[in-house]
Amino acid sequence: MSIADDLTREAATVTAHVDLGSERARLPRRVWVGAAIVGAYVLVGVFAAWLAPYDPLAQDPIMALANPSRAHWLGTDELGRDVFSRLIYATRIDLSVGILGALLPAVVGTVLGAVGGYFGGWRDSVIMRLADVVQAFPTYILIIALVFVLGQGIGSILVAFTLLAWVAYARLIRSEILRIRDLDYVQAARAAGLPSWRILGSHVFPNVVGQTLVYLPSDIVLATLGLASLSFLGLGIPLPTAEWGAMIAAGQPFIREQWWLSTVPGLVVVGFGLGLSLIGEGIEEWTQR
Amino acid sequence: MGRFQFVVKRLLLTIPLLLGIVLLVFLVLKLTPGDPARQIVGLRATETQLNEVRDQLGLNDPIAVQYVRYVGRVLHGDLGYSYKSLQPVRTSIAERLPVTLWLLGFGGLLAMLISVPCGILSALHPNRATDHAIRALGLVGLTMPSFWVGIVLILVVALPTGLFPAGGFGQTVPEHLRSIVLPAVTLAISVAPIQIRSLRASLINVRGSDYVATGRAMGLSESRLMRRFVLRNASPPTISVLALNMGFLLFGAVVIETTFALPGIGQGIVLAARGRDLPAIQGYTLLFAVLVVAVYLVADIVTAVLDPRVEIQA
Amino acid sequence: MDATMSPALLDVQDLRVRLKAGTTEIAPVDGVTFSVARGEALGIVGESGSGKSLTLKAILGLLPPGSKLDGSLRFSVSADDVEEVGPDQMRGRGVSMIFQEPMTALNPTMRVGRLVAEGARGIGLSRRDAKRRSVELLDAVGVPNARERSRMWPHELSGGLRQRVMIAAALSTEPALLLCDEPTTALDVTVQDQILGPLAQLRRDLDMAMVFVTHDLAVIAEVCDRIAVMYAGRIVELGSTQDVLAAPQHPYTAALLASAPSFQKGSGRLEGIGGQPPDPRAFPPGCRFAPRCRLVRDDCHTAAHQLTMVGSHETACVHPELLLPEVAK
Repeated sequence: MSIADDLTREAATVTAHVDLGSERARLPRRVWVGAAIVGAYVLVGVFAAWLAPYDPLAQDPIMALANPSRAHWLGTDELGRDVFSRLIYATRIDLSVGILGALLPAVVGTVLGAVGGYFGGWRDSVIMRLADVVQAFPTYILIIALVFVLGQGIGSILVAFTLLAWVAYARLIRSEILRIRDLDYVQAARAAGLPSWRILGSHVFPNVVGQTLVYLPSDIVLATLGLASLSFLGLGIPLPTAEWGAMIAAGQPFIREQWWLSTVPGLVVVGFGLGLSLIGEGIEEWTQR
Repeated sequence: MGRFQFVVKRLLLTIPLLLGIVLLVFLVLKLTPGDPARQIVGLRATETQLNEVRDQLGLNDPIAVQYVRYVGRVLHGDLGYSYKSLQPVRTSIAERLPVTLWLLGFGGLLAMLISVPCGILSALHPNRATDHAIRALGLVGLTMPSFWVGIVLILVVALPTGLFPAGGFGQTVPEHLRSIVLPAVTLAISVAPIQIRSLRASLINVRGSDYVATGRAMGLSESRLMRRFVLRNASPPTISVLALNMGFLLFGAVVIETTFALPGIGQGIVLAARGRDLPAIQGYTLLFAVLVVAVYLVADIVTAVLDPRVEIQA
Repeated sequence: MDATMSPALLDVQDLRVRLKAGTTEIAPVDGVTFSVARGEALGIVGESGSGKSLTLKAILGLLPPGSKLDGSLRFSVSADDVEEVGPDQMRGRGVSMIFQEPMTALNPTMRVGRLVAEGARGIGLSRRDAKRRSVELLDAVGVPNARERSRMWPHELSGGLRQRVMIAAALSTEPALLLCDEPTTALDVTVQDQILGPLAQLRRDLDMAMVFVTHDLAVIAEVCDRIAVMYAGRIVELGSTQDVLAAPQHPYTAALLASAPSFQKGSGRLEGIGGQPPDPRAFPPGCRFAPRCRLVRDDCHTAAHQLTMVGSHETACVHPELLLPEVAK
């Protein structure tokens, strides 16, 4: 740590509590840009039924592999289904699995980590051992194995994600609890009879929420990419449901002539990922201010 | 010497970890619904026939016995027989592993060739134009699904130029080399952003440290500082991060092999999963887990070699 | 002013360091002027936050990224050659620095002998000569069993030994000027003497000048010829150590003396200085010590900062005459 850090830190502590109010108001611009992008995707997902011109499952073999036209904005796939509509409906699936695939582990992880950190003892040991074992495994390989066991489908994918991704959140809240536990003023508060949930609420929670918010967007990206990859491999959402990764896979054999079948869904994925990353980076910047 | 003992201790600790992994793999797959006997014999088998097969496979014995038997077999290198091909799993692993190693080797090398210079550039002038550009590109790299990148490369490079095949591994070494280029590039693109990010972070951290200030105060040149002070100290945390991302890298191999139809262990596990081939999945999962553990071990050893502060925690 | 016949070794004029703290710009070093003659030891003393460490770092350009430097630095390479050099050119060219925190100041992946040898290589010694020189230096700074110790890693050595290694490393470039940033602060008192002793000896042997920053008056009294007292980014008193400590002309200096155990003989009571140094984001106008000064007068709050000669040395105090009754101990 340099002297300048010490100096500015000293200067900052004096005015820190006063300034916190005004500093909090200013979210960096990129968060809004990202939120707008993600918001657009969410809207598409929610209003899919209104936005999609065709039924995503409706086959029309005569019209298979048609070029983009006014009737079919992105052409049709190998079974004659309208690609544009499938893309819109796929947004629903990818978004919901992506978001749930990040939220569920966050919730489960936070609960487990809080239990471990708060109660300690055997509960803590068990939870931490479990965490170590889960982390030692190559994540996605285990997901493949779990999906194999549980069968394909959204449910098993979500279960698999949750079983593997909870660890980071658990460790986060657990270390925060452990850190807080030893602070003087917390011990004083407990001696004075202040209920634990109060302490958790006012000290542990704010710190944890900040970091969780930073993790979440990138976890959503990972979950979405994970789903797309699994579907690409044929191990994710079963056909004929429309899903971005599955569409990319289906389009691969036709890459020479109908190249848009694979490339466009990929661009859609990238767009979603970028929007989320902007939010994530923006929040990170903001929490460090 | 402290470091040597650390390495030995680390090696010893790996054994229970491996046993745990075998147990986990065994249990997880034991819970799979579906009757292996039926898979082998077919739908029209009678109950007696099925029972015979189950006996043969040892499926009627208590779980604990099955586990011990399994461990024993694994230690002997016997990973069972694939339901599909009826070939020993071990054989198909042996055939496929080299292909994956080619991919990981070239891809990893390429990734480092990209990430080390970019990481250094980024860290030299943080938050300036170059840094922002590199980080932006990295961000894009991370959000692009690797299979999509592969397909785009096939579309844009393989098909028009015909220099590289759109898939497969070929028979001869020159063909191997040609076949591995695009997959390796794809792997490098998906892995480099992570490497750049962590290298940049540890470089910036080290550059701001007091001992670098001491070196600078001694009048050492920037390049000498960079080599002897900065890189040497930034490597251990970077290597640790890379190792931790091994799982990610292996999955990348799985996806890329499928995209480019490379006959490696990645494609192997996917085919096994699609085909509901239990012994094969067991074997491949075990293999992947062992590979990851091996990589962690190597990373720890390399870190110990590079960082003299590593000692046994008593 | 101590007029020297030959040009000063180091001449600092109106040095100012500006950094960003959050969203505001602050100047923790705000117009510092002093000079150091060949072979002379100048001490800079002040509380934490006075800007004394940053001043040293500014001379060698070791400021955090994003800092801006104003003012001029002149370093005379030889007796008749004075040039204005930027901080980047100072390093390894006759100016060296040792730091406060020995625990983190040595490269953990380099054996200590190697580190010291790096400096010697930098001034042109061959690898073999540099190695030999490195052992000689380690011995000269008082590292026992220098040859064996030179093969050890920093984490294997105690704080005191590490500090000595740092001194040896700084001296390996044969500097004409050594900047010392609180080198003894992190060490225990008994070890302090083990550092200061060899340092003083080496200074005499090499005719090396020194700028020694610390908050410990006792150390300055022992080591330095001249002393500069810093407060809130500025020098408030400047003169020979003897003069300043015997007859301080600034209330801050007097207060420092009153609170330093080694300067109170017998029954004198220790008095802390009330209050805190000002926040660099909001320095008070006029004399920055005024809010804490017992002898404050109205015009202190509007006085411009200026060092004027009072008696044998310079002070920035507007009313030094108020100190006279205090000084008579």
